[in-house]
Amino acid sequence: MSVLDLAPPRDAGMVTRLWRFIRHNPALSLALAFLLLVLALALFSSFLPHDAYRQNVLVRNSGPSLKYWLGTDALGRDMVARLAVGARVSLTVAVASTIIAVAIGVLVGTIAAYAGGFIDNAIMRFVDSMYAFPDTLFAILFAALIKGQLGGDASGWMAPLAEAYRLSGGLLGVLLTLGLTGWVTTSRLVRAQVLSLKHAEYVLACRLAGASHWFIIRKHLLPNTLPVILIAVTFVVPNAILLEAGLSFIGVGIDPPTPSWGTMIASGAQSIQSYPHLLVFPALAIGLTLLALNVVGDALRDLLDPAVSASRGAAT
Amino acid sequence: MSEILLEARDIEVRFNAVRAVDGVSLTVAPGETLAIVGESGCGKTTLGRSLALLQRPTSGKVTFNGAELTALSDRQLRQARRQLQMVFQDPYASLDPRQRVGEIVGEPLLIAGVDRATRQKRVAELLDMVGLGADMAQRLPREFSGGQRQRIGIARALACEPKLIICDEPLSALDVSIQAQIVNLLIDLQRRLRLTYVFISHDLAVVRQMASRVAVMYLGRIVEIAETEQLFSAPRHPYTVALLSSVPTLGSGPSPVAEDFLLAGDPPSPSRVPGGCRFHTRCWLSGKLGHPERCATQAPVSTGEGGHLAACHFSDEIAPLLSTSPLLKGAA
Amino acid sequence: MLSFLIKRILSAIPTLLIAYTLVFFIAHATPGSPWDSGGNRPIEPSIKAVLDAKYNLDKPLYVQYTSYLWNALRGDFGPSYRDRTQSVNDIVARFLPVSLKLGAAAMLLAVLLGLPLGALAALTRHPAVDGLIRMISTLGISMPTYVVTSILIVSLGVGLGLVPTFGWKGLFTASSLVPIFSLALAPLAAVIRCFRTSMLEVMNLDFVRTARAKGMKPLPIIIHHMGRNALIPAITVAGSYAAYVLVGSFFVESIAGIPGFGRYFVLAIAARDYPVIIGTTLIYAVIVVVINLLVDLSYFLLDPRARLEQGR
Repeated sequence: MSVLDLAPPRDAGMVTRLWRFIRHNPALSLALAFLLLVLALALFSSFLPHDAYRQNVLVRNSGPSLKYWLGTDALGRDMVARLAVGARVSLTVAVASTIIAVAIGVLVGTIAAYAGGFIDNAIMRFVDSMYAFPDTLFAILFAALIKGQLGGDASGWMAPLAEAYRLSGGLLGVLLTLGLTGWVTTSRLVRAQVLSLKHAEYVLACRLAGASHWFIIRKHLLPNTLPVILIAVTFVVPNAILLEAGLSFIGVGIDPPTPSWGTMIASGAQSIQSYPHLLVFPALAIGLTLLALNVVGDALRDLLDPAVSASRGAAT
Repeated sequence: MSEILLEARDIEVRFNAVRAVDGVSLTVAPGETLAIVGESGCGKTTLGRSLALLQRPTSGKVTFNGAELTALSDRQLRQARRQLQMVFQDPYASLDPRQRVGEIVGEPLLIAGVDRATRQKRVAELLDMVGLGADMAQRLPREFSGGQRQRIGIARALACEPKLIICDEPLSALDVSIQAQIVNLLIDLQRRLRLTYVFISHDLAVVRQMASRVAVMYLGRIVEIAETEQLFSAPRHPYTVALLSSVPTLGSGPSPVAEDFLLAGDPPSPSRVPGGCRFHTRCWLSGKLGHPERCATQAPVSTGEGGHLAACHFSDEIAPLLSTSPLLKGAA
Repeated sequence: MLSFLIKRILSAIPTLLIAYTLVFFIAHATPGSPWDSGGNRPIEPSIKAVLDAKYNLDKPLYVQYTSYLWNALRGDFGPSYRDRTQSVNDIVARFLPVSLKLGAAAMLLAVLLGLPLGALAALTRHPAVDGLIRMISTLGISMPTYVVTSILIVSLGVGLGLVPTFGWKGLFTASSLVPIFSLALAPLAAVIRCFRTSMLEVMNLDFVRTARAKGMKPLPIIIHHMGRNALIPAITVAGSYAAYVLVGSFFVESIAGIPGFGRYFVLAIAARDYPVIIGTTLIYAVIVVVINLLVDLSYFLLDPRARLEQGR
């Protein structure tokens, strides 16, 4: 080979680069540490000294102390335990609804871009309409509907669903709501990516080789959309946590007695004057979690695709 | 030409109001190399893709290896064009960055249902054939240079033993010194595997080296088609003359004579094709003849003998003019 | 200009129609008749028939769908189920102005504070200033309004006693400070971020460098050349936060105890008051669509290039 046709050098491994990236970014390290703490609390909440549901009238609304690190609520339940279970609820909702939402978004975006023409137009017109509309508002309406359908006495085929809804303490409704309303951003990002990949020469070569549509989507389009899907996840996860708390706050999310950061904020707001710690701790929990998620998301987007993170304005 | 491997008849490709390809007919005989040349934007890439039916023509017929591709459903098409492959322009965009070289080259075999062991053997063979070692199969495309990538693309095209390969400007993204290596590889493969090429290019020097016949395209139409030597020595369309005289040659500086044949301005937008002869707005010959009315009003028909066809009302006027131009002879 | 406006308005229609359709069917898929108030006081069949006939509830669903739409287009959103003496229109007239005032004040604060801060960040490029401003913007983008409101009320109201912790005494009182700032934080962060980026971009444009090389003083360049070019994206971003401010009002008004539209919406949801939910949602949809339209329009007026593009 000639001097002008040199192959580029092989680069360092992904893990090495990632580790170096984390070490040189103190905000990121801090955010990751905080998220790990939240995750640990959520996973091991049953090992905490107090139970999240155990009421104790003797220590109602007590402030932070050695025994109750963050105090107790109006029914004398330990705040740390409740925050930990709330974290479990938040993370469960975030993971599960993100899987649903991103799956729908990828499906819709891929179909729209790959099919093109009329199908693309119809889908994107619908997506634009959803976009022009605050997603929180849709989520609230949706959650109210699900609560209305499943929260009461359901009969027929709805009965098992209603049972599951009751057992999950409203979690199922929140999951469905966020899954079914949170796919819009993902579908747009995925569509744009698939659209640009669809005419890539390697896809043409694959078509020439006689590949089916499914083969092309599976082998080329989806793998090359993966970075974009991850970017979508960095938007969808914090949004899910934000919305879960919002829905619970309004009363169409998680049902008591299951603790959720949103319901804790709502009940804390009622005694803001006399027991501010009931409001401050859950608010801090969710605020810091979202902050950490955003810091991690920013870093991840920088790593995956500098162009996307630069052009992103008010995407969420 | 007794046998025909690929035939296109009245191919038209429209994008909304734009006719990228506007009524092209051509035939390709087994074993030959038909070059398609023209300025960028003349529709040659679209023509190449529509011959492979990667872009379905709006109207017209494409027949390959006895099967009328344009009449087939998507499913039937997948089978029928197995032996028609392409080598693409951009060696960076034509390889999936996430696949290993072995996967890329073996993918057509995988799709054809070839088992794993046979596939591995064949991939090694193919990589060897294009001058890359079989040990390259585990590498990723980003570890290769442009020329090496183009070799990988060629290996992929060869995987299912094609009869015809459409090369869509396979050299334009490469450095000149690498271009020669790829040209030699293509010529060598053609000889060894009895391949037929449709070679799309804007590089006349390479075309002259590779092609048995040349078709010149202007604004979506073929304006002249002839055997290579005929076209270079006795062009019969003013556009061909202009293209030939714009080829730089070593040692001869710009000459006042060459400017006689040069093109005026940029090609018109394909959405606004001039009436009459579509070349008349930039035609030096029409200017020399005092802008005859026919050029602006009447579309010329391709005429000629012995397979040398040209679409110009005054194609017979060209030969005498050229005999007085030493420069063109030198260039040609 | 006119054709652009018409095109934009026409394209808003399907958005509103889809929003209406979704909301209508969600409301009607939810069990319960509007007239049974809790089930302990069954309504008289004759009255029910009269009420049903009045609001077309005895008709097939598609008739209800069109008749409600027709009424809504004429500005009649029907009665409230919760409080039958009130129509949705009365409720809107009573509660919307408070929310609009709050929202407008928040947006104004975001723009008036965001532009200078963004410009400052771009011009000084001092690491401390830059870091501080980046911190504000990250906080603003991450923190939900209910967290900001809670923290502000606890610290400023409960802790320092500077503002009331609950209730509403009007826009120009201390009671509006926390709500306005809570609502303004997110758009403020976005405006700062966006204006800083576009200022930096504009500063590197040829004509600005030429002006600086000619010896023009910084301030006139900023105002004359850079402001206008960098303003467009900032305005667009601010506009896109209008919906956010609307939704934020649900939480802010609920926590701070402000008798606004957002709080009423939350109460209506809790009470499953469907005409109010449909009506308010539709009004929200119209507000969002109109604001988006205004943003597009301002874009169009400020940027000649947008005009060219739309003309094609």
